[in-house]
Amino acid sequence: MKKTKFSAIDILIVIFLVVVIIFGFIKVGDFDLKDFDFLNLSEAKKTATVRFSVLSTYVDEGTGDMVSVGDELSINYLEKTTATVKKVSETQHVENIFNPYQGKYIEQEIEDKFDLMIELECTVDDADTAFLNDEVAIRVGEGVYLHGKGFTIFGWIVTVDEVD
Amino acid sequence: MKIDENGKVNGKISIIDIFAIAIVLVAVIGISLRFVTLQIKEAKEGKRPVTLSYVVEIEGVRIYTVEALEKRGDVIDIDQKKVLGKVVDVESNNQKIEHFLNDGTIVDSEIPDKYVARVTILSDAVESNKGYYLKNDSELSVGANISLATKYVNSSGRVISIKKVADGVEKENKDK
Repeated sequence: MKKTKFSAIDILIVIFLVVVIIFGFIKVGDFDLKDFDFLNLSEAKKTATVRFSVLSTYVDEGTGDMVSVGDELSINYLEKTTATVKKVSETQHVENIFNPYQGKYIEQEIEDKFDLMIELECTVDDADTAFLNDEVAIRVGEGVYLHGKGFTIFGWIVTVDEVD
Repeated sequence: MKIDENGKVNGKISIIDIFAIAIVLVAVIGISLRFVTLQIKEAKEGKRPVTLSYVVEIEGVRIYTVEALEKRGDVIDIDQKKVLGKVVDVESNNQKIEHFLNDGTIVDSEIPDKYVARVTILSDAVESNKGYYLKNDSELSVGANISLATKYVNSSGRVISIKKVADGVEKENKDK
């Protein structure tokens, strides 16, 4: 086979194209270089166990019956992002309505509508900026979908505490 | 300039290589100009580092949000993952709203289970002739609605005051 010689310019062009393609994949493909850290050379992550509550308001009666203590639910439909149910409580939904005759707010229970509070526990990366369960930040005020077998419940994270 | 049957200009360098080098040079020059121009623009606008203390008012939140804010911590930009400052103080009251009564009078009523929190944040920022800018290059101005996220909470509110905390100089903007 004839030996092929490469010019210096050809080599530079190839190196440039390889660098552009790699950075392009990282930027566009949203890859994390840590995914290629097969030897785990990066610093060990600090982990923690957190217990958090998700409040879902104005739900139909029986929604809470679909969730049981011990269930493992996925968060935001992400297979790797799961949490274990520790407590489920359902209370009647109450609206505060202003009464212009009395000049104050009056509590009124709404028939057939309930507030569901689900307490969950999971292991997270204890980063400086967030408690991270894989890609999901566990923070008060975050809206999350809790997905179990045959159901999905949307709610807001209302409490986050580290478990000793 | 002659191109021979092998595609080489004057028999020495391939025309394809010339095009490729031209593309690389244009890209390098373009990227350099993009950042050099930005630096020159910043220099011209006279941005100078300052420390700001600003207050964000967050309305209509549950007690859970207030309790999470009271844990304080660093204020972060969630998208850019930058630390913008730190929460130094949190004050909260019951949320009140004005209502008209049937007799035509107006009454200030407390909304049950709703609170308003005023969060004081200390932040390293830059001041230019046009205004104040946080580390994520967003402008900070009284009246603006901004997001407020810490490790423990994600919320948003309105900036109600900005105070420059600098050596011997204090200038206060307040929302009246």
